[in-house]
Amino acid sequence: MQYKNKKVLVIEDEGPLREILGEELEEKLGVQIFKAKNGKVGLEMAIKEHPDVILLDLVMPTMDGMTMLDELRKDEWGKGTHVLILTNLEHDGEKTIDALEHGVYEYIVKTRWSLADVVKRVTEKLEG
Amino acid sequence: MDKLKQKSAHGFSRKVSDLLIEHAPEGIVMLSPDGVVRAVNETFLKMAKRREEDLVGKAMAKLDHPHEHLIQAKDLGLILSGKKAGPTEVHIHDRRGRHVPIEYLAVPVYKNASHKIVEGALIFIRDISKRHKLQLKLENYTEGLKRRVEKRTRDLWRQMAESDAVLGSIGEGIVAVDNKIHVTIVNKQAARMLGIGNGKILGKHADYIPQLCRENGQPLTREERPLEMAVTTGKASATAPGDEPLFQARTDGTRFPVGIITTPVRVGRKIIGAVSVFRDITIGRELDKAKKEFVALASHQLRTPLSISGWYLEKLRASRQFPEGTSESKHLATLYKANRRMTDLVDSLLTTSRIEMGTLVLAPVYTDCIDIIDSAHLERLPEITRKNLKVKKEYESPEAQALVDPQAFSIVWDNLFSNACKYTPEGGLVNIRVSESDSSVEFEIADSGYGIPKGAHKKLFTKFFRADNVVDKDTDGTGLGLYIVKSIVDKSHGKISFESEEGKGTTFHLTLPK
Repeated sequence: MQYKNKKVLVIEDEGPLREILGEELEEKLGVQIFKAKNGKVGLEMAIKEHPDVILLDLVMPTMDGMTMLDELRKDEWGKGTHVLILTNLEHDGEKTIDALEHGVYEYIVKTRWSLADVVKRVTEKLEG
Repeated sequence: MDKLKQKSAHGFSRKVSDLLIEHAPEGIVMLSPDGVVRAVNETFLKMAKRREEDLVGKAMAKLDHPHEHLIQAKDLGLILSGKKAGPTEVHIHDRRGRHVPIEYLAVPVYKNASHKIVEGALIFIRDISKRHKLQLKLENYTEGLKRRVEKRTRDLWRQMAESDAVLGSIGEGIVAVDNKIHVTIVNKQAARMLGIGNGKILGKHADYIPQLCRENGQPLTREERPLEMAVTTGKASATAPGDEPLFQARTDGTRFPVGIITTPVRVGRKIIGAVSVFRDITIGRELDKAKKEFVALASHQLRTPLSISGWYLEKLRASRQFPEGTSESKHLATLYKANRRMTDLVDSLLTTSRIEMGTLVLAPVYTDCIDIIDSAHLERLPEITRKNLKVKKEYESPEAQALVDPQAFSIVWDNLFSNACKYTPEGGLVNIRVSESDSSVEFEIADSGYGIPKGAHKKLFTKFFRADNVVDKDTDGTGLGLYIVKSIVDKSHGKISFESEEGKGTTFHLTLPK
């Protein structure tokens, strides 16, 4: 429970994924979890709560991940915050370049990464 | 002959005129005004194969076949009225009845110098059988030639009609030019697609054909035009999926997406022109678009349930309720393995579709390949331990960075490494080496596995190919792995090769630019 004061925002439209990510991070790291089901809700929540790490899905209704990121980077606080992209669109060079331009250097490929990997990567971000 | 000699009154001495008459190359016959032979020379006797007594004193009609005369009646008439006759061609028969073609020239002989009274006729006769034979030969030859020309012309027309029919019924448009880029062929389809009359453009410069252009409507430059490029540089060209799309303009200003293959036409080494074969790929592009959308959708939709089940299974396996060793824990492990396998399969299929549609976009960056190799090793530790495999890693250049898309390299290495582990029996060895040259990073992965049968070497990188000797040992494989590896390596400007012996093992060599 060493990250009790830290906040993690999970923006993911798939309920079960949102739930298990939240549950696991809360359980393993003791962080405070915020959950949003699309980019629009996520953006509002991010600007309000200022989470330490944001896990961001790309393909979502209402507002997709890349648009949300665009908006987030316009915000003074949002410019520097840690964002980890949650994706299934792997091996997609164009998307990688897109994300690099938005200051995101890391992807979590949902089918490839285990929950343990996600926890490890979020921990690194919280430490960093 | 005596009489002829006696009548020779042109001022020559008898001896000289005798010699002239006897040795003249032509036959000479003297006729009386009533057509009776009065004298003949030796040359004519030889020519007609007759004796003097057969002829002298006989009317000319008797000399020959009843219907043929040495001299024709009209010519005799001419001579008697003081005129020359001939040259005239007739036939005479020799003693044996053989045909001898001759040509004669007849002149009147006057009784006195006043040239008023005709005393007879001198006929000069030339054997023209040789000439006749030649003429006959020539005629035959000409006739043969005529027949051949007629036949060849018919053949050519037929061939032209056939080629026209073939070219006309091909679904693709065909345009050919000569080495001056003047249009030589426009088939019906091309004329229809371009909106031109096919006769109107023939012989004109290809500039008169509506041009190829880019998606934004900008026409290709002269150097970029496939027909000109083929003629001037000898380079063939073809549009391919994944390339910048090309459009063909029509005369009415509209345009359509075009697939086009252009090749130079050579006779020996000389380029005599070029030909383009093209088609409207509107439907294909729509299908491609639909396919791309499907893959993008499938990529998301298929993987989402896989990631959900994967993470929930992971959570269950970690739960204290199913401690290791229980049958429930084993079942969960099996389920998890199935989830991984399904994930692999979906990934492979989607990567393959991307490769085929030309939409696999690689973003090469300087990549620490050894990190990726190490994590692949870590990921496979359970399998490696279970099979008691020995993995030896020799990093001659631990800092080596290749210029490659990291995710793509990860796919390549995962495939090579998992194959090495999968196809090596228990207790075997997998040896990995990484070294560097000036321009590239080299990877080597050698196993002591089943090896690849010789007959399978050529097909190893083909899609869905699996060697016979592993099909029954491992049911997991999709036959897509090495196809994907090869495609990615090619696209990354790298090289891949292997050597293998059945029963001994396989070594793959991978070279990537740096």
